[in-house]
Amino acid sequence: MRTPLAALTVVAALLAAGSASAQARPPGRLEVGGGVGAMGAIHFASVPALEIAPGGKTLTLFQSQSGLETTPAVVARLGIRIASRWWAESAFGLGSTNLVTDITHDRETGAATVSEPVTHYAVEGGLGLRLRGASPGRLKPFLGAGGGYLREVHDGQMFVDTGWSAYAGGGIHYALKQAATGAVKGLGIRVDARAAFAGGGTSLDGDVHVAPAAGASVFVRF
Amino acid sequence: MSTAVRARLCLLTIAVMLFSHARPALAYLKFGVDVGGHQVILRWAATPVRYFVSDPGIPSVSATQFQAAVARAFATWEAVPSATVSYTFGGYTASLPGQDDGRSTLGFMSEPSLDRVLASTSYMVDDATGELLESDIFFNSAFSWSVAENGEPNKWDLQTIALHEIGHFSGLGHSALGETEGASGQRHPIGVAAVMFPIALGTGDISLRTLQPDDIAGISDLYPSDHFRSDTGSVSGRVTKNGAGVYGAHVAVFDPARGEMVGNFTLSTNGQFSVSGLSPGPHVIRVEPIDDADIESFFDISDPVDVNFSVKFYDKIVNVPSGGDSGAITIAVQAK
Repeated sequence: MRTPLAALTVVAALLAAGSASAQARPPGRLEVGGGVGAMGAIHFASVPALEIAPGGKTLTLFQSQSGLETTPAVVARLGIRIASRWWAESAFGLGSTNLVTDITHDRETGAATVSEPVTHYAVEGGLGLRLRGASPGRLKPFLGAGGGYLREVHDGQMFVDTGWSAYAGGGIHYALKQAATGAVKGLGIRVDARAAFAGGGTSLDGDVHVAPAAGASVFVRF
Repeated sequence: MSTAVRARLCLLTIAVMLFSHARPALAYLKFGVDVGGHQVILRWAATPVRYFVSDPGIPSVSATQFQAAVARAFATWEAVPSATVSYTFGGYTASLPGQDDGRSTLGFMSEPSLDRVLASTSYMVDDATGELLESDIFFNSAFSWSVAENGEPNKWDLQTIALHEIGHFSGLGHSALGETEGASGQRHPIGVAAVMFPIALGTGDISLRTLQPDDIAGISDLYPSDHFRSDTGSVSGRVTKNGAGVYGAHVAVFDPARGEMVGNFTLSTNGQFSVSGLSPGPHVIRVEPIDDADIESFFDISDPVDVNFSVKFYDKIVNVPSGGDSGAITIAVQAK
């Protein structure tokens, strides 16, 4: 998928890190975080180089299979609590991958692989929900979903694709530190996994693609 | 009118005969005319281009049927939305193709000695200005022809062949986007990706009544609409072997999103090429020697065309920007 930041934009803000009770409102309304993540590879539809053969048939000169390699990414996010268990957040992500086309079955030469680097930028917004009654100690599970805008810059900045992204998933928020008073109300780590969807962008076949994504980040709550 | 010189092209055979001053020019295979040491692209300066049809038909195709078939072929080129070329039927004439009468004439002529020439397009060019003054197309009545809607076995489809010839009539040369089997003089195509490929598919075949992306890019490059240049882009660069430029290498640019191919050749001893009329986005580039038709179908026999290298895919995906060029790339090929 082409939404690197989707992997990390998560809903950590929803976690009630400082609460002894799963039902308690977490301290602080604002959360700032950053981390790393990765999204799985995406394969586009295979596209043949076809020629017209006698009798209206076709001849395949070669076959092409394009896709995006696994995308590592960094992300920065900002969340705000909007209810005791609900959080809204926005995120900016930056990822780097390769667009790869594998050539096979060429009539005159062997297989070949051609590629180019692609840089992903994404701005996303989403909602998160802290799960009720399932918080062993400092671990707080959550669910989240959202979507956003995607911009993909090809090698040499010669060409730019734009599209949309969406995600749904969940994770665990682990509170390292929490305080009821003071400017900083909490500090923690979040790990999340999600299904990341993308449409437009570098999708050579025009389809919507989904890929697994995972990430880890650190957050500070105010 | 200053001295006019006629250059005859034999098409749909394996050979193209070109006068020395009608040579491949930059982009696709457009023709260039040498005017005072400068190359002028061969094209009609004003449209619609008026054409006439010879009165004499042949037993299987009347002049009226002939005119209807070529009109459909002309209309196919006119329908390209990114090109502005247009044609108009001027009427029937007793003149035959090849007569220097100032009229662009299409018609049948019997040339049994040209046993591999289905049809041929000739030009009259003002060699002082490079202006295209007249272009005639003759269809060789030594072959059997059909104007049937669905084609006929053992007969050549007039509309299909006319579509190819009208490409030449408009200024396009041959495309090398096709595969053949057999040796020189006995080649037959097994796959074709351009109407402008120099060898016809076969009798009864009507598959190439439709223009292909390479044809569309070519005619649009010659007669661009207002938005063609800004809506499409180009790839340019060099093909080299052992550090030196390769002349006459065929460069096919493949769009992995759409499956479309557009081709051109390196047209200098420096190995330079330019392929325009491409959809914006990532492209894959394949370089091959001319080995699916005789070199004379594309180049003058005296040109130093190099066919001693292996097919090569450029190892990077090349991005085509809207209204711009990819930036020069260098593709190194290796001798066989």
